[in-house]
Amino acid sequence: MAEQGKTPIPKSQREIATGLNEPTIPGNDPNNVTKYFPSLADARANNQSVQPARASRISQKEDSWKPFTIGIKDLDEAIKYYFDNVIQPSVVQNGNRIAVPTIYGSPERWKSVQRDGYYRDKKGKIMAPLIMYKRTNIDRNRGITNKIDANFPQNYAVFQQQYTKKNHYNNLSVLNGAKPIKTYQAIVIPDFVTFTYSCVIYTYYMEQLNQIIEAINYAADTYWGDPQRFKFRAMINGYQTITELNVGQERTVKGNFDIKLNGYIIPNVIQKDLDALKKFSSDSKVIITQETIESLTRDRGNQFIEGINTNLD
Amino acid sequence: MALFGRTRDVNLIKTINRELLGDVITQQCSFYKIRLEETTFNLYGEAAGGKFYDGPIIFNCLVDRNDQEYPESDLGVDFNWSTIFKFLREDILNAGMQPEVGDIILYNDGYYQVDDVISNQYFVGKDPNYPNEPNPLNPGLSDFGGNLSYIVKTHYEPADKFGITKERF
Repeated sequence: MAEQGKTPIPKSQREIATGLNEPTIPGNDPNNVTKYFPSLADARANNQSVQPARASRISQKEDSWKPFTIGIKDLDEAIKYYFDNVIQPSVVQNGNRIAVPTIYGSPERWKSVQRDGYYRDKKGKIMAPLIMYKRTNIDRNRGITNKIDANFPQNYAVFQQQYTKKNHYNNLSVLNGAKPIKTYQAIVIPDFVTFTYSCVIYTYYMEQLNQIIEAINYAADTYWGDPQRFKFRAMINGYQTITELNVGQERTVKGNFDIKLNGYIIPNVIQKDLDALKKFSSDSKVIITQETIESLTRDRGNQFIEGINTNLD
Repeated sequence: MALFGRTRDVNLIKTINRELLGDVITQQCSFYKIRLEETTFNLYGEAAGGKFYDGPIIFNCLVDRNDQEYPESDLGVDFNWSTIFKFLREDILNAGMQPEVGDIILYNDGYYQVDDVISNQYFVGKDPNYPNEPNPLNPGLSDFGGNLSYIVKTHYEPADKFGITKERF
């Protein structure tokens, strides 16, 4: 119960998150807490939450890079980028070569009708050809490495940071034999996942569908994505072609296929921000090679001499 | 010999209807007929390289519009509009045309492909084209009755499919 007359202060997000995290104790032995996690033992003794070591909390204020993250959207965008910029599917229709637009499936109604006019005619009818893709599944891929424990990530990919204002290289340093401190960027090993995308190619004619499938099939099983960003291996196993002729409706020619994208995710979440190492520096050393004093007895008198003598004993 | 529905009666009906369609109702549409000689097709039975048409020929007609529909699929919100066009048969024949499944009708900036052609509105139930002559029971049936209309059921098609107007920019 709150103390009488004292306003309770709610815990911050950081306090709540760190309070919930407890590392896995080796052997599940409570005695190992003191051995492996002294800070946790102290915290438990004092009924406090665990706070990560201050040494691992290096400011990223002036860094030229942001914390490395790859989200689900990045993988979705990789598919569209590859369709639009690398495969560039096109068909010949009424004597003109036209590019095949790619859309993500099931957009909002207003967007579909009012904004996506480039593949609609005056009345709003969808014009072919068109490629639609939609993510249908995300599977965890446990066949590759992992970070072991989300509460205390153990596996990192480490990159050395380039020289900066504080960590610069100059000739004077070389002359003096001074080596600048190396700063490293630590990134938690990502969660490896397999994305499944369901794709539909919609055309007026089978001949157009053939052209598009040929183009996509050529690009199958390669790495898809923006070379300036991320590329992921896209696997396509097969295509299903459907020609429908329904009463009172237009003839539709469709090709269905699935893309399996081997991707990975490094989320930008507060739990990672609190628990994972993001940046660290190499060990720094100050080496004193020579020290000269004028007189041993000048300032400290016999105490210093006595001290030396004691050591010699 | 039949008693009613002689050619004069049929002509009266046709004249009244023509006047009604042309001067009172005044609904019109344009008819495109596929040129079979010039339109080539491929292995899949489709003219992917483009189609050629005769026309357009404007006809007075009676337009029976159904409601517009907006079906939804993964591709987004689509648009369907089935419409029935009713022509005076003689107008079509006088233009040297015969509506068939697959022909195109332009109506209010939209293209409609013909699904069904219905021609069974016989005046007094008789088609003078089939008088069963020589007919000992009722000779001269070719002067009675009349086939009055073409009723054409259509569905809306995306405009760029036909290449008649430029729809993609």
